[in-house]
Amino acid sequence: MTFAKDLSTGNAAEDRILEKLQAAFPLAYRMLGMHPDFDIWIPELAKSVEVKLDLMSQKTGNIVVEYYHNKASALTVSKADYWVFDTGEELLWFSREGILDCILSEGMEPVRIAGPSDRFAKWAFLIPLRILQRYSVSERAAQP
Amino acid sequence: MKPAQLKAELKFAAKKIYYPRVVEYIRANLEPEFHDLALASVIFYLPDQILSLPTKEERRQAIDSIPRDAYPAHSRDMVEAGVKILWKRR
Repeated sequence: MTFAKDLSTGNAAEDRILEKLQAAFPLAYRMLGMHPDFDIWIPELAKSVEVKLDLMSQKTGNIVVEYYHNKASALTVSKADYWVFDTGEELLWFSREGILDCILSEGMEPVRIAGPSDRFAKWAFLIPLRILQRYSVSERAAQP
Repeated sequence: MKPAQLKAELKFAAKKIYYPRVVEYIRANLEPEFHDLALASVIFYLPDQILSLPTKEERRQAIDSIPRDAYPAHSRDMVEAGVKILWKRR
């Protein structure tokens, strides 16, 4: 997949999430251009959302949580209050603390990933979907 | 650098606990091209080490040793959040 196609697919995923959010929060809008802080802003809540499309997770069973791609990226630069992973089958919602909780509590180790369209290798956490789900917004809210 | 070697160095760096010493270790032991990667990575290893300090004051000092403008931008917030998360899980 080329960078342009990656970008187009990512934008489409952000549009899908935005459409769902706008059903409850009509003022929500998507940030345009390269915006590392977050992808969607919800004025009604004053909250931001980072959208990550991870279709490969259906095959691998792992979600990629990137934090370095030739420079600090994604988890280490995003200011988003919430992260949503679109696996193609479901949407999983997390707070940033929830993802960090998973990485630290499960003793996750970073890995280097070189995708076919990547000029530079990425550094990320490969988190099994079944483990990451335990740290979703809904699961954490259900904890005592 | 192989990932396993980097991870080993990150674990050594994190054992320095106090951020200036962590940075000093990274600069002394890794090639310059890996410094930013190491700084971005070590924040995931520091919370566990800081939590191993015996007193709240020492843990606070360790967190406070991370400059607000450290690279990457959220380093201090991430480490502090990590220490609190692990503390609650104990």
